[in-house]
Amino acid sequence: MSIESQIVQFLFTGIALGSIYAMVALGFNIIYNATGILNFAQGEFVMLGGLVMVWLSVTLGLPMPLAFAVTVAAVMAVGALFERLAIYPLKKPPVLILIIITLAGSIIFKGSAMLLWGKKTYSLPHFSSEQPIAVLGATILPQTFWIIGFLAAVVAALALFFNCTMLGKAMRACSFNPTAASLVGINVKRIVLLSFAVSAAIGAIAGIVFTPVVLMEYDRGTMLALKGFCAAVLGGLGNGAGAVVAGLLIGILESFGAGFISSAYKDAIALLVLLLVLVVRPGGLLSRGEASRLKDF
Amino acid sequence: MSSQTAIVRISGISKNFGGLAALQEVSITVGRGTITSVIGPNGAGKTTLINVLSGFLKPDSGTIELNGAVITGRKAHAITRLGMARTFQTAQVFGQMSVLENVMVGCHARTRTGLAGAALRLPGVRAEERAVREKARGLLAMVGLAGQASMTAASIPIGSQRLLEIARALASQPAVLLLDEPAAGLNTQETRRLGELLLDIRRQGITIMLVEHDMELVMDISDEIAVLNFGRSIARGTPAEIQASPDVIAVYLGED
Repeated sequence: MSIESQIVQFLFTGIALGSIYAMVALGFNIIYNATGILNFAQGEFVMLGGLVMVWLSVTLGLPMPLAFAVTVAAVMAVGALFERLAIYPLKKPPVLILIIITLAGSIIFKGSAMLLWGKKTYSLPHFSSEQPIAVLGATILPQTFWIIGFLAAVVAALALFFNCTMLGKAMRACSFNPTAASLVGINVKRIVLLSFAVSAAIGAIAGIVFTPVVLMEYDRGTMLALKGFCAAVLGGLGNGAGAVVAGLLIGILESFGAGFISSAYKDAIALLVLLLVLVVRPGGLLSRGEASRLKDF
Repeated sequence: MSSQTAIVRISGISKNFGGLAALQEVSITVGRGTITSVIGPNGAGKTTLINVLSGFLKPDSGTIELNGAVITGRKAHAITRLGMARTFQTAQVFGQMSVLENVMVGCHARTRTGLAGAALRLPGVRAEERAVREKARGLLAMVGLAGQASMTAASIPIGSQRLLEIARALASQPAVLLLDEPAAGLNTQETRRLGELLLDIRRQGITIMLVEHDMELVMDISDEIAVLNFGRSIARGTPAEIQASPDVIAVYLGED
């Protein structure tokens, strides 16, 4: 394989990987904006999305689109339930405690998934043909395009939701000024619930489109959460566009790192990026020199 | 005293912060369609009163009725939905959103579509969004901010942010508007315009409860004035009566 086609190959692999990180980072941001919480259970939503989808479409044999919708709804419900049971009952808790609660949640989700699905690795059929497409000498799986397409769809849906619906505007308003938001009649607690549900839905979508390529097992969530977190920080916490750019960037770096240096360092790359960002540009890539929006630390 | 029916009835409200009695047995009746002002020296409990009325603080005792329904202890967002909107001493705007969007968010209390609607009935949602946008433009024109609609709220002057906050409060279609020192930091000309705006709002049938230090504004536009001192309501009456009241004069002269 020539070096050019290798580059194209790694680029596409990286973009697919990065699309998943971007979706996880978007999930991080939505909850962070509404609450100031970093939800480290975000990766578990991806894992649950993958495994529930496998159960519905492979084990139960539901048609793909139906299984997709039910999976997203189910994981959304899990996210909402998590908020109602673990976050909502606390009265004015410090954000750090809430973050630790999400870590506990992540462990519980992982443990429950292990009990339900065991330690097996599950596969899911590709959405369309598994026949690779040749692009400039590289071979790209059609699923890669599905992944990129779903990232684009999620981004478009979020942009539409936040800018063109009253509910979306209410959510943005909450993130800028919760006091003023409650003053105009917005039930801030309900917005927090909504943010968990929406984040869980995005996580589930990521898990569903990702599983055909990389398979899924109960303990995938932690690393995905970590990578997504790196992307969210690199893009500037709370910044949607930043999350997408940074997610793709980390995916691409990782793919090139694994291809040209060593796949053993694959996971180290995102963390290295995180360290660099925190030292050099703590506001994130796309920060406009304004005070970093890190809320409660 | 006024012959109008009461829209807000505050009865025996007390609120303590530790050992400090911020409000002691305060009772004030606000007549429907009036501008009722609450004045008093610093620390008299005016802002505490507004915070209790709007649901940001729970009173220790006493009741508040809005349109005959008891609203004591309800949450702030619920009280807004019941028809009482407020502004803050320091304007609380959504700084990174546009001026227009700030007012649009104010309509939230009166829009119907929930998440399911947003997800499923996109055309309906778009139509609602358009209607809300039009309404918000109208309110901005009314407070004189039409020209700044697309600027971010953080970038307009403090005086304009106050007006923006009033427009946003009006967007929730309140029966009662609570204003916490809207003239603070405004120059004479801006204050005069504010006075005209408030009279304009009253003409639309909205009751205004005004907490304000600017005596000229208060005396100019108020129908009724209640005076608080050290958490107690010490006098009430028309501007002329208040200006002539020896108790009130003593409170204000005693301050100097």
